[in-house]
Amino acid sequence: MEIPYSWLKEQVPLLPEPKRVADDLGRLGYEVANTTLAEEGFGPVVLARVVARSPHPDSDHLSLVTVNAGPNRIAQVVTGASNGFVGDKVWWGPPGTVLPDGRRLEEAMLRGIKSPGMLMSHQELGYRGGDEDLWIWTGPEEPGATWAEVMGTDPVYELELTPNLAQFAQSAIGVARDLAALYRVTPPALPDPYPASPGAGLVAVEDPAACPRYALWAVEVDQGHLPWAHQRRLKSAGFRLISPVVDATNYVLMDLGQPLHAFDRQKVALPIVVRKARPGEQMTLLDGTEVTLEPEDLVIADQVKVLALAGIMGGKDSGIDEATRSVLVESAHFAPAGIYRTARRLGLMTDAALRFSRGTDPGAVRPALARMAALLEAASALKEAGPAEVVGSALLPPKLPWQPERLRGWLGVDWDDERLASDLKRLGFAVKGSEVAVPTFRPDIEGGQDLAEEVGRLEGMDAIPVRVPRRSGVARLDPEVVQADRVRDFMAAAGYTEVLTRSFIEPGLASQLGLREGVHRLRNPLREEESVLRPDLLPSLLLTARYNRDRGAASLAIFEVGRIYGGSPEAPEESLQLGGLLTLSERPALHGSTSASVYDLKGAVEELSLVMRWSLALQRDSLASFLHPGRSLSIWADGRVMGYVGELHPAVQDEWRLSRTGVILLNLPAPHFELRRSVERPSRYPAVDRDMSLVIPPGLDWNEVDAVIRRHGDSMLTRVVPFDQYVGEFGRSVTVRLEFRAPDRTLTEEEVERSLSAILAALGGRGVQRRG
Amino acid sequence: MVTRDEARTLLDAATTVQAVEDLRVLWLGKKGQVTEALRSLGKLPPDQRKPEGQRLNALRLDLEEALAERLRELEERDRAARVKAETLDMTLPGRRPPTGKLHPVTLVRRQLESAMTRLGFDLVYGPEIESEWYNFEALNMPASHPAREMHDTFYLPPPFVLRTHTSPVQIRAMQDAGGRPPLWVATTGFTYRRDDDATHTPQFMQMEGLVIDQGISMADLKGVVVAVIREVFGPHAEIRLRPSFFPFTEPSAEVDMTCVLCRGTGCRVCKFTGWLEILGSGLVHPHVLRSGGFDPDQVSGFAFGWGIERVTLLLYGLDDLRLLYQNDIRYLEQF
Repeated sequence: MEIPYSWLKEQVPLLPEPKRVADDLGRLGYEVANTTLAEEGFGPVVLARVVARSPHPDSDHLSLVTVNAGPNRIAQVVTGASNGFVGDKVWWGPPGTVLPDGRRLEEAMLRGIKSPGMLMSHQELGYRGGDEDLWIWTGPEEPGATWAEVMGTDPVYELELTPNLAQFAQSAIGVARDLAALYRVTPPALPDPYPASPGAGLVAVEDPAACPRYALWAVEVDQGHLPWAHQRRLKSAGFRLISPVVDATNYVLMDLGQPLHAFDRQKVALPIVVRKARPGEQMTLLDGTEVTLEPEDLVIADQVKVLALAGIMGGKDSGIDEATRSVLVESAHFAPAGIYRTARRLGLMTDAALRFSRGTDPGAVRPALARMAALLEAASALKEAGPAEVVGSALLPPKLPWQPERLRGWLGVDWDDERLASDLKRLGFAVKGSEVAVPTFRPDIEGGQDLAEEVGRLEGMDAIPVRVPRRSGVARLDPEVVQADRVRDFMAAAGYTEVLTRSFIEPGLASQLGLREGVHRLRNPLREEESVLRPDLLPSLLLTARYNRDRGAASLAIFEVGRIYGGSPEAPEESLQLGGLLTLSERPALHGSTSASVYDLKGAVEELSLVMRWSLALQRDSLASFLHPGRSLSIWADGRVMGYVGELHPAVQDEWRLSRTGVILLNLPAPHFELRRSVERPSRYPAVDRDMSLVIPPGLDWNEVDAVIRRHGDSMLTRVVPFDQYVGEFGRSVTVRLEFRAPDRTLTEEEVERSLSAILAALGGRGVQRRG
Repeated sequence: MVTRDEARTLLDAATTVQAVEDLRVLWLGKKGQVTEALRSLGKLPPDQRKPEGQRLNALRLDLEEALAERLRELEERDRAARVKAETLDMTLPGRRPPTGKLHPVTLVRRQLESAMTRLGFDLVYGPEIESEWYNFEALNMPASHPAREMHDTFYLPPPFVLRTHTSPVQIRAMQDAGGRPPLWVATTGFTYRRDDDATHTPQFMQMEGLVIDQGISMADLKGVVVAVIREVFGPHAEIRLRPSFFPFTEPSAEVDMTCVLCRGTGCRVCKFTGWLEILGSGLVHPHVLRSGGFDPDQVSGFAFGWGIERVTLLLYGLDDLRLLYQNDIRYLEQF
């Protein structure tokens, strides 16, 4: 909301200087986003007296006007105006003047004659005045007086109103009430209500719950314009000047916060009826849109048609225009919820709709008409003030219990009852006995804590002391989150960098990868590519890999522990998944290079399982279709597949244009923090190592070879470590180191050889031969 | 027989360990000159035996010492040569262990969670797919309330939405507490709003804290908030409260803290005000207490919340929110 300082000062004459007001508005909860000066571009504009006027030698419609703008300042300006004669005072805009439309005046050549800037009309200065070309100034000011000297400098505050402030302070009087309370000066008062003429036959209200108060005023109007100061304030507040009636309604709106609506009496078959719409009833709004109404919508109708959507927008066939002389002015109070519902359904959040939705002051209904009448009169546009009919009685102010002890408790202060009551009184509340009467202009106040806020606002939050409460007991952590953070630490230590990706992905992405499609679709996504909640981290990781590849990243090692979304649309389930992605190509390194393989991913899973005590099992079967069937494993726990580790299927790598890429996907098991483990005391006796190369026939996995070795190695065999693999003409050979060790003695050569023979014999039975 | 001076000259000329060893054999070996001479002492006349024996023994000791000395010299020389030959270009970059990095938002989330637990808050979490009741109604935002439009919501099939804030966790925690104070809980997590521009991402992380007990006041709120902020931003941070509005708190206050960069003197970061808007707070609205099963006539509470990304930007001195979630590895590896 933009509001000029002068408007507030009109409400509260004892207002301090503008900078202090701006600071104090901040203390009261108003955010002053910006302060500008009204008509800042008019700086060079100056009052000048016409001292000579002659026709332009080369033009029939231009004149050369010599003006005197104070001592030693004489200029000849070219004008096309038909008025402005010797002796007249006119407004001269010298070069440098910036007009309301943003145009900057320069020294111009008009038909061969120089003209420094121009002489100004009302319209050029953004005002509504008479029909004459130049604005002839009739005030007492002398030539040489600048625009700002004549009109005054007027700071304009741009206020950001929180929703509660918007409920009571979206007007000059609303803001002024707060300021008057802060400065302990007389609060602004509403004008005396416009006299009511009961039984005028102008209006009937069928639904008093939806429209507790309705006033309609018949008035005959004439041409005219609001005083310059009023026009200037409206301009500063962002309004365009249109006609005396429209300008006056806008002025009342910003002045008192009461929306008014004007009907053309000639287009209305009186009396007006305030009623609910009939099912299927239709109307054309002021802006030309056709709407179909529902019985929950409140309308203003006459005897034949709907005139307006109550509190939201007028109809096309009942509005006023320049020629309207006979006007019906509506000032009403509507129940907020109904207006909000209709405006929202129809997408018509007009300024009036917003204000009525937030709640207006029922006490302002009649004073607003009085202010309207006064403005029309000041505009010389009030021809005949007719009767006003008012339906509905003045609402009693709501009451809240007076509980000073609780106010102190909420604020944490020791202020006495008197101080609290006086704070509230300054804001318009009345403490009487055991009750607090809430003024009708405060629809935002609902309960005691609201009163605490009012006291806090007025006293200033700095006045509240600081106290540090203590809790008893020990703060608890969440096991699932602790586990997830341990997994993150592990992955980072293992060389993977954490990413945080968006939870929504493109529909179909998951199913293309052979995953279950996401079941949760956003009804209003920002874009189609982000409209389904991911059922798995894989698509997010692939998108991240592609994003980085497009930016030149040759190799990647990334992970995320993030939420995935399952269950059904009716019963959603969220769980945590670990996703890792590793580029399986050479990683460049300064001192030689190391190559990443699927065994790095597998090793990470194995070590993670050990560290987290998860007892995961890895199997070659039950793979997902996005995986390379010969280079992947499924991850199992408690008899269920928990995830996968391995290389992406070549088809997926091609589809995503990725180089060889491996992934880990693992649904985090339920957390358990088992510290017990079987820990062996290190042996004091030396180990005996035996290295041998084994030629393994095709189709036999290492798992099976390992099992045979262990089964026949008896208890002396403490470790089996395959450390090299070679594929040659003879087939595949794996070099393995066997470690033999006894806890209680040094082993003899014979014992080890005996065990080795047994192992080799058993391996031979499976077609495994020792090489060389 | 070798003399001391000859021995010195010969040893100086010997530049390898083997050459020195050869000299030792020549002089002191089993058949060396001095050894032989000592062995044949008996052949000398008796009166010469003693002086000659003393002379030869002294010579032997001298030679042994000279030989050892020369060997030490040569070893030192060899070691110096080896060290020189092994010298590396130590200005080449170090070979770092291939560790990954945690995301800055994770680092800051943990920092905040740690501060909150040290202050005594239990950490609790809630679902991101949330019912409209938990996300709005329970928090005093009925469908007819204009305040609901402050939140640009992602809708799922009714009754679900993507939570627009972490505040529904307050309600869940209150319900879990069964209406029995005291309750000290904090939560963090992703939240979602339909906003995507230079200063908003549709998915962002919030943290909030909630205390409910008998006699909790705005003074308690100020005490805890200043403690949290100093825990995160350092002991110099000061706060100020400005009246504000949130549907779920009453009174509500925006908390500013002294600028992290200029400490309040005014700079570009704080737009020359000396203050940074950092956190929203207030006393829990009675409607919210009732939604959570607490009696607003018996207890009161305060709540506060902030955006973890904003804290991240301030702590690390960053200026672009969007980079945090682009997941460009070149960016993330710097944390």
